[in-house]
Amino acid sequence: MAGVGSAHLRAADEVLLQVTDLHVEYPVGRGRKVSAVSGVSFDVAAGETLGLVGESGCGKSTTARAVLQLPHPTGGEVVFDGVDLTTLRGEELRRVRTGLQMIFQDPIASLNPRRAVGDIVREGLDIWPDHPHRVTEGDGGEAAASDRVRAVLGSVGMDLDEVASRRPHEFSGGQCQRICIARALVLDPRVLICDEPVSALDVSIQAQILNLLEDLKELYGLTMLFIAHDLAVVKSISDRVCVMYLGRICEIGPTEAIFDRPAHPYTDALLASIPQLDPGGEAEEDILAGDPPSPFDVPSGCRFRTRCPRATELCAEQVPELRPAPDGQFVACHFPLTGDLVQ
Amino acid sequence: MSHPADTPTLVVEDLRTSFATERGALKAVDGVSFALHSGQTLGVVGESGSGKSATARSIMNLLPPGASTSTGRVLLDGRDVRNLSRAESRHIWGVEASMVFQNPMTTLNPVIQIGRQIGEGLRYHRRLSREAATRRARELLEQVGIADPDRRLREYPHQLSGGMRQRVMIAIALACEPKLLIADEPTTALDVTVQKQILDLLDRLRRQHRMAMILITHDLSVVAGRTDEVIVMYAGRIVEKAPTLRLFTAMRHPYTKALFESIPKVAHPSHTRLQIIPGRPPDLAKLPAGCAFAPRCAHAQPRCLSEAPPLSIGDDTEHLFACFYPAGSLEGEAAAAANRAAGRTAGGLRLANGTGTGEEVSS
Repeated sequence: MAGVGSAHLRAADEVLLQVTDLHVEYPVGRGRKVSAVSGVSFDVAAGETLGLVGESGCGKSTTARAVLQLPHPTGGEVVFDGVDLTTLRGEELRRVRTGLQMIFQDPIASLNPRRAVGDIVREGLDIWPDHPHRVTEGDGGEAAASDRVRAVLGSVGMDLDEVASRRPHEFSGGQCQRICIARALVLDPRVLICDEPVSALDVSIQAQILNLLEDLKELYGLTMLFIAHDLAVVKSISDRVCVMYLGRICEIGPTEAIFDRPAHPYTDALLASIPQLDPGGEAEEDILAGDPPSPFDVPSGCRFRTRCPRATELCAEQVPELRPAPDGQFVACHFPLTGDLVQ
Repeated sequence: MSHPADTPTLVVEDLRTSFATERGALKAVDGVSFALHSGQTLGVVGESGSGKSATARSIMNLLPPGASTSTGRVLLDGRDVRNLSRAESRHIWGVEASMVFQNPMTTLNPVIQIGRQIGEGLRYHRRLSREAATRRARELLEQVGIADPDRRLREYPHQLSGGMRQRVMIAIALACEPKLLIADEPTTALDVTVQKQILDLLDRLRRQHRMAMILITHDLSVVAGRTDEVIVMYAGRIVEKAPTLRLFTAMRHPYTKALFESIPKVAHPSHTRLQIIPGRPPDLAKLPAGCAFAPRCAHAQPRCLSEAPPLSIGDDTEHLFACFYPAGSLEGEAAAAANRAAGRTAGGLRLANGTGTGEEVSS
């Protein structure tokens, strides 16, 4: 098979979200297509945080959006809590999707500048008047809705009375990200997808938001899909990490294994590029030269082979499948750094 | 560290820049001074609004006219370059001192071929013929590590990746062999693998050309291995200045220390609680009377609120910091301990056990 395998997937009843053989293609005119994600499979257990890392263009954001069916993937399955989202359309899909929410990289651009913060956060409850946080006794759920908005704003460190009538431009980037998080949480989702949520923020604010996400995960029992290009950020927040390259998974597994004993040469190269905070440390030699190849013209076989120091002819001929490595991660490489793989 | 005995390539004295806004004058740079010798790299670290980019733009005469005022002296190779006539300064900016900007996507002209953009400065400043400028542009592309330079010369920016565009920007900046290169967040828009390539390239070129370089970044880890000296800025001022190695072994200003501690570290296990800096940077139009960091500082005492600490020498002449209660000093540790015991600082900051959700303190 041309995919990259699914040996790493856990049993369907152990996970909350399971993505199998996901493909996303975009038409680029003249009948041509570019494949942004090709054959990606992963799963996330309830209460777990899966970090997605890779260079720009590797398909990490596309993967996250395809999970939400934005756009509908070209192929594959996205099973959330036993329901395959790819088979749903219209009202049915929208209803199930309240259980998966997303926050984005640019918090200021993701808020409507003309609307008051109180309305922005509350909108989900107005769209779904029969939501459990809305329906209580009497009064059409007005009081319940305000209570809910007050509670989620409170949990991100903001006071409803203080911010309700103010508009996004009155807030800093960090505060806007808090508002975005509150908006995402108001319908009590089970999965929170975070697409580079801290990369537009200053270092000191970044730490506040990361700590906040950890607290909210505890408080609301969230399951998270966390995308970032900053490896230290991903390490800090993830239970498991998935490394992507040019639309495919290179390596997936427990965070400590991926960071301490990477099995894929690409993971190793990524880790070696992290700038060191130790001024005495000698900079390592450039081990990853050049740019990733164009997604219009992907290399045959292993897509990393054109930049890989270990590549042989086999890598050009055969797509490596994800196989278990000794430390609990799964790696898609014919010649992994950990030596022989567990058979 | 021993400096060469010659004149510094760049001397900045008491640089002050403010922008006129509806809400009054905004002090973007407030008394910045430093000197930089040829072949050396100075790192300037700070968050947004700290004045690091405004400092660079003030030095390079790139401030929007009318909206800003800037005072202080800037000496390039011993020559005062602030009050030159247009004719005198024409061949200084972009020639003796040049700059690389953050966003390589928008700083190149999308409708002009790469080769012509690199050669433009050479044709104008060095009066090279078109052929000679193209030849030199080709050499420059090779120097910055672009493969197949003959083809690239005739291409347009959209045909290049982000990393390659930044290499082209560097080639343009180096075309006239500047003595000073200012790189303002040169890698912020780039991937981590490309970031390393670009920083290594800048380092190599600096050594080859014996340039003085200023590396501006929000990322302490970028300056850690690649600079001789570091300046940390907060709210328009230098709060700490030291040789890089010294700074990373003994951070004295509570802000520098807090900034360092708030960075997630790859060496730490996952889910390690991050140390946060509560609150957010001050409004530059309404700076507090005392130390600008006092409202967020765990060491803050009443004195910090009324009196701005001067940038002064600590235990050795090369390490300067602006703090009355610096980290690693008796009075500093005592102040921090007293604040912890009281549960709050003189700046009104609550010090809970642990860090909570890191609520921003409202003013």
